[in-house]
Amino acid sequence: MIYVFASFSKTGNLKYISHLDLNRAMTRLLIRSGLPIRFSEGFNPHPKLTFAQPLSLFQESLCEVAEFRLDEGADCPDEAGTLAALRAVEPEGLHFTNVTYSDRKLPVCKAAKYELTFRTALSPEALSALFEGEMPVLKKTKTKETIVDISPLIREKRFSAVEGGVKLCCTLPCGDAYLNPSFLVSFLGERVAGTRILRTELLF
Amino acid sequence: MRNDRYASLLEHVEKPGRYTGGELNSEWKDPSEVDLRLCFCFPDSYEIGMSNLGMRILVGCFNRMDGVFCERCYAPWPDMEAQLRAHGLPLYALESGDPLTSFAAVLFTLQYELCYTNVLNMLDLAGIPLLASERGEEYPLIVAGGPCAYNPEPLADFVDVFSIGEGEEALPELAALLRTCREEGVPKQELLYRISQLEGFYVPSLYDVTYRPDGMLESFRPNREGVPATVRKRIIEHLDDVYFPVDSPVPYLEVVHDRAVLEVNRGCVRGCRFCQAGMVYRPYRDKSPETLDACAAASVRNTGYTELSLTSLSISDYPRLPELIDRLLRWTEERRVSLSLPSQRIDAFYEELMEKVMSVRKSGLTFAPEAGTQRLRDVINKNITEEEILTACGKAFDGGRNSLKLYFMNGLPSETDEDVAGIAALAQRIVDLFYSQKRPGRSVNVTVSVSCFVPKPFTPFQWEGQTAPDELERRQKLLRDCIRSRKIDYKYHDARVSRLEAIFARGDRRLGRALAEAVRRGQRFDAWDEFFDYDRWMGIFDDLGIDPSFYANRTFGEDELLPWDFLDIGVSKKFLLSERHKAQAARTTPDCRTKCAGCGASALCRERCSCDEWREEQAERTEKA
Repeated sequence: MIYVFASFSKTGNLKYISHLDLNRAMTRLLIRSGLPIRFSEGFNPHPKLTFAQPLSLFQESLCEVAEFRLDEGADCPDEAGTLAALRAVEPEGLHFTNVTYSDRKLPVCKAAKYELTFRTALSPEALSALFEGEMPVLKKTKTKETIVDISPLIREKRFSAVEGGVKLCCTLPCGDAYLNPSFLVSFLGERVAGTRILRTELLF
Repeated sequence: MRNDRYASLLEHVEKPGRYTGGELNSEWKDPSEVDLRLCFCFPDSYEIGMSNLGMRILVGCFNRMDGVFCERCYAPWPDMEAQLRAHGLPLYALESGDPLTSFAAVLFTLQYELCYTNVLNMLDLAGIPLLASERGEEYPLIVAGGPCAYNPEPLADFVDVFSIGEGEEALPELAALLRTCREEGVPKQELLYRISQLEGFYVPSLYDVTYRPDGMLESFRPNREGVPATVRKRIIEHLDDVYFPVDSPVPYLEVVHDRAVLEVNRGCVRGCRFCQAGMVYRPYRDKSPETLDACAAASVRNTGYTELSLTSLSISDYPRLPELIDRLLRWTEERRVSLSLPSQRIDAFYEELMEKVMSVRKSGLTFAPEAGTQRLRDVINKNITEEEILTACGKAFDGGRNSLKLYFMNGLPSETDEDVAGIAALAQRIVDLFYSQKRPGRSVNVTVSVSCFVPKPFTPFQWEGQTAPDELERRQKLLRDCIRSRKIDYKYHDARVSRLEAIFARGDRRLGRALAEAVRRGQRFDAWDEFFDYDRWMGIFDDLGIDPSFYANRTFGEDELLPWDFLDIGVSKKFLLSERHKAQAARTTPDCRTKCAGCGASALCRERCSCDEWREEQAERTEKA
């Protein structure tokens, strides 16, 4: 059995598709690909499929990674063959960029790089200043609401001017300390009119 | 969607994926390079619309035409409607993101009477005047079809053209005519006349209606020479040859029927007297296992679905079902595709079939006895006996099933309290049957689901008045009191919803005012509990001086001119009437295979007919001539 790490981008209208829906779409895509996918055992067999780091609704990404398994055998192609088989059945907005084989599971994703493009009248400097001090945001869970300072979690900040606003490149933690980039947007509140969130790299 | 005008709205609505298009297999043609743009609308939510096979077939039929691009639009949920209205943006087609006013024709499928307000609301959201008489040349042609078009009259004020019957051949003809007329610059009035010359199209503005002082229809006739007095429905004679979509768009969102679908047959040989589908889809036609198998394989290959559902009004009446199942199982098991079979008739239910399908996945089992006593089952011509019901249930239990769902109806013509109690008694006997044998570690669950009878056009019961909601509610309570076992779950429909359905099912043109007013007062998504508002509807009828009982609860006269009499569905009024009389005498009619009842529908098939007796008769007639 081979573990396959398939990298893909999820952009355009696919930002309106939730992680759960993507999971179902990816399952169907794997079936359409005709690859010798390894299915789960049991009464309702389905391809074993996991993602390195779920992406929230309204966010785009250039660097998603899905892990599934292939049965080794005569009809199992090499990495390039698998990439070609996936590309042949990919829907609009989802594009496979790379396939790597492994003999073990996908490692835990530690952090992710993002590009946030804010539509705002503020200058990069003014925006940067806002990110210097404490950045309290309200985090809600099912049972409680807490105020958290997200400032220490945001690393490698770079602000630059773009047409109509400011672009922020930064690295945010994944795993247990995961910080959803949407918290940066809610921190800024009314100061920005809209934000495009693009994930650019996953760090393992 | 190829533009981002709507991007800021989508962040503020639930399930934005409903409004973006771009699903796998969705069609794209460059609008600047096609010569006819159409938009097919489904007047209910995306999740319901994407599950509809008819729409998939017809959108596919248009898009197969060179130079024609047919896009899709579903009724926006109220949160999206609020966003559109707040931003002053029009309703748009999913593929291009262009407003509905950019299209030559906008087509609606009418699946259910309670979607009518959504049709009007969608027009309104698109900035299209509701009344056909107020739409000039600049607006798209508004077309409607589907099951509810068998009584098109409640929508006659709003729709330019109704397509009657099956659309796979008719609608491309309409598109071709539309294209020619646009090239020639034919004015709308002339276009409508030309459409009326095509078989299977009804143009309401070309007919005048008069009423008697007592409110009943007096006359219904064309107001222009050359317009046919009767509009005959269209059918597809050879289903094996007709287009069937095997590469339909696959939704990202989870929709109601999220699976590959195979249409096995059309029409039903049974002839249950309440059932509109059983009459309007006659004559019975089916596809060969070879065709179906090829379609199934292509569908699964193109969509990646792992569930395949066979659709049919009565799947077990398909003579070659065992052969079809065998063929499908040859590859579905290996590819981990599960099969599901809908609407099993009790008498034709056999164990072997069940076990075969169960080997893939165990799914729920549903039977529809419809009535609780033999007398009432005879009245409605549901040709099954209690013994057959119990035998089928016994087989299901022996086959390892623990749960069964049974469908019944309240308010069927001639129903008495005894018939109502009979439903509970039948369910109880099924529970007792389960426990009559030792089944260690197992317990049974029987769900009794009871809907309310709604008289529908073109059925033997089209003349019957619906039982009033208060009385229906009394019978629902009576039934609840009759159910003693905790193994029986009891569910029933809202009688007031069924009444609104009956009003529009048997309505005429005069109801158009009520629809427009209802939309103005904010009614939409009437089929959804959270938006249904009976009191508001009654207020509207009251304010407009319309008596809803005239449509829903009145028993129509047998010699009365009915609003849909000008349509010819193949089944004769004489046949419907004789079936009504047999119902009154609790006499049954055998199914079409056992004996041709002479309904007339076979005459719709020009070359071929599934009914031997009719064919012999025709041959004799030809000989004599």
